[in-house]
Amino acid sequence: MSTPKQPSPFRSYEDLLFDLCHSTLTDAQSAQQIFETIIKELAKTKISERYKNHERSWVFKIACQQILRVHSRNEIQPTCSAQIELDSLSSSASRLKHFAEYFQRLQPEDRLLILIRDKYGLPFSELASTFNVSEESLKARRNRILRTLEKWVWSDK
Amino acid sequence: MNCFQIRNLTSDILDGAIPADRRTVIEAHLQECELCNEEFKHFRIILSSIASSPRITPKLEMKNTEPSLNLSDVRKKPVQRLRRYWRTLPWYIRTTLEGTGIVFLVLLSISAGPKLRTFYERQIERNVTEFNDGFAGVGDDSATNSELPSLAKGKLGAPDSSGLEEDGELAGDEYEIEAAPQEQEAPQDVTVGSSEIWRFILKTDSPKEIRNRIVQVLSELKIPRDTPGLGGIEAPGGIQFDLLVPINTISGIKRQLQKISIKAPDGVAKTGNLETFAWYRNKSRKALPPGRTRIVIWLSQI
Repeated sequence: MSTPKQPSPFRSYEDLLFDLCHSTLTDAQSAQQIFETIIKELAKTKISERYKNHERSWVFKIACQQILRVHSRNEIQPTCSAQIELDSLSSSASRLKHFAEYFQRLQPEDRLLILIRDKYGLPFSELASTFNVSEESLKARRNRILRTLEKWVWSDK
Repeated sequence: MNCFQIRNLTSDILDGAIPADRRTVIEAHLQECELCNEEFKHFRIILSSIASSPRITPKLEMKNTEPSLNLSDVRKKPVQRLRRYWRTLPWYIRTTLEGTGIVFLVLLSISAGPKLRTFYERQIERNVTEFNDGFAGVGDDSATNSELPSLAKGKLGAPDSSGLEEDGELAGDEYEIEAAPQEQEAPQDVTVGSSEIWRFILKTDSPKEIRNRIVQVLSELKIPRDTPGLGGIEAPGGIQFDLLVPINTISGIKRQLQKISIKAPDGVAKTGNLETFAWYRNKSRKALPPGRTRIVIWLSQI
């Protein structure tokens, strides 16, 4: 009698990771591939002592590493016409409708930080372990990102 | 509290992580400062847009399937697939395979080097022979000496065109007769022969004079006067001797030619660095009669 295959202990993060990949990488195929790579990497890599009590941080750390690695290799920039079209939107209301496109203009590290913090609600203490920087640095970075987005969307004020 | 301090606390204010005593001060500032108040409204809109953005979930069938190498490999190009598979191999297997590959390549290059060189030399030899043969008909007949063997001019004194062997070397009729049976007996897979060809090159301003002396030297070394090629062949740029001689005469020939080269050329000896005599030996697939070797003496006109 064959025993059923044990599911990976990180299966519970799959939905989050899948969304993170698709939200950070604009290319759907790359996102799909990197999602599979992350799952395999998680199953293969042994969690270090440092992250024993912060499993979530470790999972996101692995995910961020893989996403940034892929992003640096196959970065897809929006076309010039798309950029001009986006910049030519006159009112802040119409710009807000295209918020997702403005969001994709951010650096991938910034996108990851905002998504993990404000979409998935990870506390700064765990984010600090994920990104290997202090909480204060992360807060300052978040301030800067928010101001950048605000400037892009409400620049006619 | 001023605008700058408020800006530094943006993240904490948005998260509501401000101590109660400071909260009232901040709220008071936001009510007074229209710019800061508007900014915070915008930040809240941004955060709510991000938080409310739809989540993409994997398809059900994909969730129930453990991601395997083949699942993603289907969509990848073969090279990418191979590279990805290569990365999944343990390091010790990869290192062993890479090391073996490097050693194999080094050994291959070491073994192929001499073969390539032989092939290259043979090609050059063939080209030179074809070149000489093509121009063999050009020349003058002024240097005839009744006491000397006849100097072949073009195709007249030389072996006829069928005397050109497969490998491009000039050969006399007798060589053909003697060599042919041995060639047939030679195994088909022989690629490098054991026959020797000695090549001597003399640079001189008067090849015809030197030719007489060479014929004399060869006669002194008891080489029969009816040996084919003893008289030499006139060719553009000089005179060539191509003949079979007993192996034991080679050292004598070499010594005598060296003496001739030192004494002979009046103009050349004084020209300084000009090399007037050179010799070398190489191998040929062409089988030769036992105890004989082939010499090619080239008197080059300066």
